[in-house]
Amino acid sequence: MTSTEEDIVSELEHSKAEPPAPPSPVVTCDLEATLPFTPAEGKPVPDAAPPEAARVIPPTPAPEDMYLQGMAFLKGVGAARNESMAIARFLDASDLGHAEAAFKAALMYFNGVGITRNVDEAQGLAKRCLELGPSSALIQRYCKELTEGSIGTENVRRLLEQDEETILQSDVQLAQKKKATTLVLAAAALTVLFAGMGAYFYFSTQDRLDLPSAAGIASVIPPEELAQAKKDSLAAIASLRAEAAGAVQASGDAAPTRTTDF
Amino acid sequence: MPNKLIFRIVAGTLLALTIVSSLQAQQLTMAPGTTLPAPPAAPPVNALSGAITAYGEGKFQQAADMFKPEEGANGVAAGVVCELFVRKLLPPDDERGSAACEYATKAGDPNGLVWRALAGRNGYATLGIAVTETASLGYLAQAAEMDYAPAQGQLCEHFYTRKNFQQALPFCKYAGGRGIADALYYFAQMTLEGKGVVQDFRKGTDILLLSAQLRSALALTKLAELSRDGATGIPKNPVKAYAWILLASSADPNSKTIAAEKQALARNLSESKIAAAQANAAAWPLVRPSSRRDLAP
Repeated sequence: MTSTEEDIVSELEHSKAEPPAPPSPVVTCDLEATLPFTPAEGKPVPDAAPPEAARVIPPTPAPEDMYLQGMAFLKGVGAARNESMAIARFLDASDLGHAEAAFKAALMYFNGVGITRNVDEAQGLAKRCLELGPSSALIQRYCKELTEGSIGTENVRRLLEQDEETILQSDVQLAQKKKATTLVLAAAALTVLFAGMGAYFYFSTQDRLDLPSAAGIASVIPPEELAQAKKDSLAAIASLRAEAAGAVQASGDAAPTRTTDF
Repeated sequence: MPNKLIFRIVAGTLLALTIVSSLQAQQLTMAPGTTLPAPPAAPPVNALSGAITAYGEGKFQQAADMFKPEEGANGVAAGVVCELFVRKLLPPDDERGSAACEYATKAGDPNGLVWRALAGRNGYATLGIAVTETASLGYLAQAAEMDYAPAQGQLCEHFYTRKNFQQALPFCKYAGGRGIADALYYFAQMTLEGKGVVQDFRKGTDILLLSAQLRSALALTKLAELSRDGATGIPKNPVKAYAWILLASSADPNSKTIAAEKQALARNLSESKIAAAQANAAAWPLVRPSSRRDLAP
């Protein structure tokens, strides 16, 4: 017997063992007590219904609100991310003269975000953005680039994903990076140039003939050494002349007649 | 009174009268206002200056011609003429050469003494001068005693080549210190090899370079060898070696050894390297060597 069968069997046995419980007493309800009207009035109060005369048509949302709604749908803030709803809001806001919304719609058309890609439509919306006159010079610049077709999908994607402040900051950072890169490249170029010049001078000068490091003869034979050398040489001369005179005498030559003869 | 005496008196008187009358006649025949020619100008005090200048400029034949009238009476002139013949810078004339050397020695001209000493060496037998080694040394000693630096230099070379370094040292040092290029070279060699002095490569190389700057062909050749082989702290560099040998050949154009070495070095160099060596040699500053002697008469 399986566990389920065991459970069923045990339940049946348990129910057989216990006497059945007595039926519960009938409880009556006093409906009259609950009626919204008094029995004296005799008529029940009907359900409350809105008066037709007070019906108000909700006002058309401001373009800015539509734009903000579109941004909320695009970013998934306060609502689920919904790109189709976003572009719808942007288009509506654009129709009402919101330049930034036209810009956003243009971006989404350009990259095919939330709608089928349509570059012509994107350019049209960008043109509308320029006509409406965006408040931000950055948006104006990008609308211009969209109309000229001088912007790429990657930049459009970046623009869709970032807000203006971030874009500005990143532009500044980019500009700083470019400047730093330029400086680094210039420094590298100068380094290469100087290294090349140094190498040129080294290789062209390594064959140059050496010059004495001494300032002159007097620095290698100082005056005191020169004086001593003179003294020593005179002593040597005296002995040379004596030797020579002795050699002449020993050879038996005639006595010299010239005064210069030694 | 003897007849001879009378005759002499009369002849002398007649002679005097003749001279006076001829002078007077000369004066009478001259045009009025004309004066007698002025006596010739006195000869210049330094008659040998032109000859010395020519000698200094290497115009040896011209110098010899200008010295000729004086070489029998002036020790300086005789000494230079002796030198020119011993060095074979003039066409051979043994009689004149030996006479000049004899006179220069007699006059005690130090240059003449040196060349008389050298005439007995290196096969200068054409002058017919026979000088023994001892006599040669004696002449050199005599000139050196007169503080003549080239004589000191010759003594330096004499003892160095005979490996008598102790005796060579004072002569090499003293002559080298006074700017004799080859003496400086021998002193450099002794310093590089540690012979007679403490060995010192740096100092020896410096002295060698100083000697080279004074246009010592020996020093320039030595530098070429050191650069070719790389020794005594000088790195091996064939381009430098060739540049040194170019300078050596300009210092001694007649040396066959230098010419052969130059050819051998050029064989291993490209044209661009030869050109670089030529440029480096041309740019190297040579110092005008001190004058061999003061030739003022």
